[in-house]
Amino acid sequence: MTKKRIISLLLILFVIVAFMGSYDVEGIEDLAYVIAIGIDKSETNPDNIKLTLQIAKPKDKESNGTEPENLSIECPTFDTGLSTLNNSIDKKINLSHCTAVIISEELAKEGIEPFVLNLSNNTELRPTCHLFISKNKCEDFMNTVANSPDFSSGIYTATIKSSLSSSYTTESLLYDFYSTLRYDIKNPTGIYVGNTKEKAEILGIAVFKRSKLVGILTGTESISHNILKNKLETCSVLFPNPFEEGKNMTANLSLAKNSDFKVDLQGDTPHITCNIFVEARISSSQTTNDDYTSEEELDKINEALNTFLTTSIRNYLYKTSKDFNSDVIGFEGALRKQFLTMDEYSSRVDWDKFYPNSEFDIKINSVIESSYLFRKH
Amino acid sequence: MNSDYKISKLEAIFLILIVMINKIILNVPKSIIRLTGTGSLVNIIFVGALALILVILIVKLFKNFPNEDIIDVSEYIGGKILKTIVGIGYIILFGIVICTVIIRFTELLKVVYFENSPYIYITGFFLIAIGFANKFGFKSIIKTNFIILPFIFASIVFILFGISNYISPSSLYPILGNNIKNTFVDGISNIFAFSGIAYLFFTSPLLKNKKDLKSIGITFIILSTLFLFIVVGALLLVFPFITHSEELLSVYILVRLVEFGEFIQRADALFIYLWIISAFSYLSIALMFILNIFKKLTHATEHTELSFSLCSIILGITLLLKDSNLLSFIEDVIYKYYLIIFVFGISTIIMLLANIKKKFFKKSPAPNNQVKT
Amino acid sequence: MNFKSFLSNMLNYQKNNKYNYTLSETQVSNNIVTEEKNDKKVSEKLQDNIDYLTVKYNALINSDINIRNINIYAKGKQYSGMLFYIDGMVDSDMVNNYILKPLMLKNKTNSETTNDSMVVTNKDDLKKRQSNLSTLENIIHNTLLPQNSIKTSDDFLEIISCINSGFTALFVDTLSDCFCIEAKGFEKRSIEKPNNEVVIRGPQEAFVENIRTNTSMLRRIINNENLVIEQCTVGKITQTKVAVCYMSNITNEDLVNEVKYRINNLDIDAITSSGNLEHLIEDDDYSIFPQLLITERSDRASANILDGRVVVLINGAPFALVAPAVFIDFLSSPEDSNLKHQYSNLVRFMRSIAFIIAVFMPSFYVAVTTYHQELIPSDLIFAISAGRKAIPFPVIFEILIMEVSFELLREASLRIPTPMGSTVGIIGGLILGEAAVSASLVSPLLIIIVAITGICSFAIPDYSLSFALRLFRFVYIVLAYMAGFLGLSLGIFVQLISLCNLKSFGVSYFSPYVPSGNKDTLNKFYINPIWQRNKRSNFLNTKKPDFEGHISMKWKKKQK
Repeated sequence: MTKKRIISLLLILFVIVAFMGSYDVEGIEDLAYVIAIGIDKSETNPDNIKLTLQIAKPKDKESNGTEPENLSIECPTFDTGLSTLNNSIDKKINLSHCTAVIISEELAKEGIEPFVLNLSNNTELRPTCHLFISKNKCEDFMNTVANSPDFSSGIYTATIKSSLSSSYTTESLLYDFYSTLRYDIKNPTGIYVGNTKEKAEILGIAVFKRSKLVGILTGTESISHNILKNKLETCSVLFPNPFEEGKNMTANLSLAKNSDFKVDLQGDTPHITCNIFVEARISSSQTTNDDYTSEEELDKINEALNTFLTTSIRNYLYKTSKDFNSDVIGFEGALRKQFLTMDEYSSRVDWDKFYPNSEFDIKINSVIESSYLFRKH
Repeated sequence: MNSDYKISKLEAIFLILIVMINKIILNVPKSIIRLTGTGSLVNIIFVGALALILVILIVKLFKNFPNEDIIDVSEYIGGKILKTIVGIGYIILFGIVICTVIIRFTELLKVVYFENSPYIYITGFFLIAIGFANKFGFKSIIKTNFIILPFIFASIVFILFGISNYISPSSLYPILGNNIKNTFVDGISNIFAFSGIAYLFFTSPLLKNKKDLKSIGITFIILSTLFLFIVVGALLLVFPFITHSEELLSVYILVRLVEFGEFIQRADALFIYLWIISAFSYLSIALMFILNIFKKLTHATEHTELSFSLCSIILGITLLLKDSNLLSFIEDVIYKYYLIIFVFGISTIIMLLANIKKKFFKKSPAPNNQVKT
Repeated sequence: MNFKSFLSNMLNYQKNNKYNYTLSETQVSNNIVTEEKNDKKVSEKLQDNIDYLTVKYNALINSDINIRNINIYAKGKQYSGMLFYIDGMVDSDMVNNYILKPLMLKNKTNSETTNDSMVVTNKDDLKKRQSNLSTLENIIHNTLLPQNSIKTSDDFLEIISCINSGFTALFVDTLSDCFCIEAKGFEKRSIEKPNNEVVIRGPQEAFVENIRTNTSMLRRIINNENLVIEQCTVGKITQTKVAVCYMSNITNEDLVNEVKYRINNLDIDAITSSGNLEHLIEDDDYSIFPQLLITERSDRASANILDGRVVVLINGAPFALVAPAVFIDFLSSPEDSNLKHQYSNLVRFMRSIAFIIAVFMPSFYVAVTTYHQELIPSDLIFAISAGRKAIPFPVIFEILIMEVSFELLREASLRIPTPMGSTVGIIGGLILGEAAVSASLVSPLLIIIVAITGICSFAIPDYSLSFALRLFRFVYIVLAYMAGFLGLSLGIFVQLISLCNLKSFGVSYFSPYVPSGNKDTLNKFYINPIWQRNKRSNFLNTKKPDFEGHISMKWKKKQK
């Protein structure tokens, strides 16, 4: 056979093989894209879980947008649930666009280790998926979200983004949990959510110790948490008005510099000094005389703010160390800097035992300014 | 090799650097971190300094043999027997490299993207690429490598920007690792990360300007140390747990975290794309060296035609070594110690002996090392 | 007409003989029969020459061959002579007034021999003059024919070649030489604007079919005595003139020799276009990428000559071939040197993006939608999914259908007569776009992708390169469908390897990137401003590497 014939035969073979495609070709329209996974405790069988998947289905090509569909099933593990659910819909389930993993509080208190390990090893799931802890059952929560009028495929990320700007919660990623489970340099936090019949909302921060849920932080506690973790964007703080008893004023806080900690181990008691640098702008107050622009007034307000912040941060720190015994900030990391080798460190320090005994010293350096447009002369 | 195409300094540096980058992407950071824990950064600097001394020594030893590579030098000392032994030794070394790289990448692709496809389908792509590359010859491979490498650099820098959100500096401490013995004494075996030195033994005859060898060696060590430092540092900063875990491909797991806003998410497919091209380049270079050694041992005239046949042999070997325990054993134990003993040890000794012989027999005729191309 | 004949006429059936002609197998004679020996010389007998040429040119049947018998007056005597020319190729006025008149009319010049008025400079000339002055040949050549270009030859091969290009041959009885007089006057196209390489701020002169006009354009621009225009002939039948142009004090001699060597060693009957010659002399015809730059602009050709390249002009084709050509040349347009360097860099950057999009966009789309869905942002994926819901074909067929239709539309628009040209655009847009989407044959996003790809492929300045892109686009689509990004990586790698292997007249195709050349030339990726282009392209290994001084704007320096 001549060279040309051999080449043309090879080409024909190539074309045939090429158009068969590989075994892994999946059309984009054949996949069902899950945007949220919910894991509940099963009501019937204590060893099982209830898996809920929220799938976003595209509407017709004329109208843009997606509509939700929730599927639930009781199953022993995550993967068996997934493969069983594959039978009940007409498309193949694909987790690559999942943005939220929701675990119920009940289940989290028992430990989320098996789920985190399972989910982190799933190649389709993004490690930057957010982890939510739901006060009520996940199924209810996801149903409420699905019924909300502005449902879209990015509803979870959008909600988190908007609530991060008020700093009542914190970002929590799946890979953080996995990190902690394998190597415990600090403890993870989750986003605490809850729902009423009409609406689902973010309630605060869920604090974990290793893989078990130990407590919830809300309000100013969350703000303190964010200040210490250097993740404060902006927030509004309500503190007592120093000029008028019983009244409050608000200031917009943001971080001027990253906070820094010093950990001083004395025997079995760590002495932790936190230096915090914030910038504040007064935004409003409850009285009519709301023009505090002279220097003495601002100094007084500064003092009041500092006192308030010191108290809330101190409360937060003692809550996490004594009540929760969970080092979410990562003070252990600051301690490790003082040792040269791991052997030395592990022979000297047992952080789990030492942390509840910690004493905190908080120093706040704040600069306060007025943010009013119209100022008194 | 094409004896009329000589490579410039920059091309030679890139030639050896592609080796480092591929190794960094694959498994070297994981092995280093597993051995020395959080002291890996200090260990890398220490090992880098050792490698620098070694390279300066090798370059000095090569000064007396400007147009020869290690095979010719071993012929000069020990005749045909030593030449064959050294040649086969290097062929085994490069062969292990090719097989392990192909298996690692195929494994990654199979787990992430090609769950249902047969193993041989994915391996086939690698082998077709390197078979073609070697059919076209030495010149094209060097030039393609020169074009590809800047993009790979850029991708690694890009990753570093992308993960800047997830860094927690405290995971680097304690800085000296588990203990001093572990970091400095056991950690010496981490010098296997600088496997590019094996290629340095072969670069001398290829250069336009023989004096460049020194600067090539030094630049290579400095750049590789820097890259290794950066990547290992990034891994430690982002994944504090990495000191006691076994994962598929450490830099891949790093890349899965890269996110730029809401538009670019899960960009790992693009990075894998680039790394596969760099793997093609690296494998072609390794195969090219194997063919060259083969040509020197057997005095074959046309060695490029062998490329596809060698690829079939490699296919057979990769199918045998698919088991991942066996593979880890080969990579972490066999390859590591083989490289250290054979390349850093035996080859350096051969060069030393050759230099001594040349000094004593200064008046004897120059070795007849003209290879017929 | 009687009844019988009427009946026979009515009932007469004559078979309709269709005109049926088949080509008979004639004896193939052109390569077997030896032609007459080619070394026939001009004979002293005029009639022999006339007979020979009559047979050679089939003058008895050929309508435009003219043989004019004349009586020549010289030295006070009459000689018979013959003018042989091709009607339509000569300027009649010139033949009448400057050939026939001085030869045929009796006047003072051809009545006497006037030797003694000649002035000489030294003794050698005197000796020569004394021996050669009074021959008929000298008189006719030096005195009687006031023509600026006359060749004397005794070889019929050369004479026939001259006649074919428009010369007039003069044979004189008793002389064994023939005079070939240049009195060309054929109709040709005048210099027009370039059609294919349109430039806003450059000269608007394009090459024409006549080689002498083209070379005159080059001479006018370069304006230097070192410009060498060597002539070769290609083609056994057509004897087409090919000019090789270069600067003798800049261009590498090896390069010139190689070009001439390739042109002179072609065993071919005819070349009718520049494309033929291009494919005959390029390094690797199997490679899809072009290796010679084709240009129809005289300023671009001159700039390339001044850079140290060789330009080949062909008689009958309004295109010049520039050798060697590297990859970046095909992405540059002649406008780059006219604009400010900031603009040209921006436009060049856009062109590179267009190049990448034109090759990779459809295959990227196929790879991402079939294997790597996680790469697509979440909002977009639902839009694509919704669009593809009702489509019956898999992505690969959809995209191949669209690409093939686009290529067909492109081909059709080339052939369509101008009045209907705009209709095709409308029909194409309607049918391929709107209607296909409404009929759920293709998804809307795909239309956008194919349209953008098409637009980007039109943004490539070079015609040959855009063909290469079209071909590779299909290959990449198939590879992407086979294995997603793995297939694309394989394609890119193998293509890079094969391109790095490619050479154009000894210069590597990816110079000056690989190996890295100097930074100061025009054709790097980033164009420097004109005052920073100190050196010529170093891959050309020119005799004069410096293009301008280190400080070319001396006026600026002096002011300080």
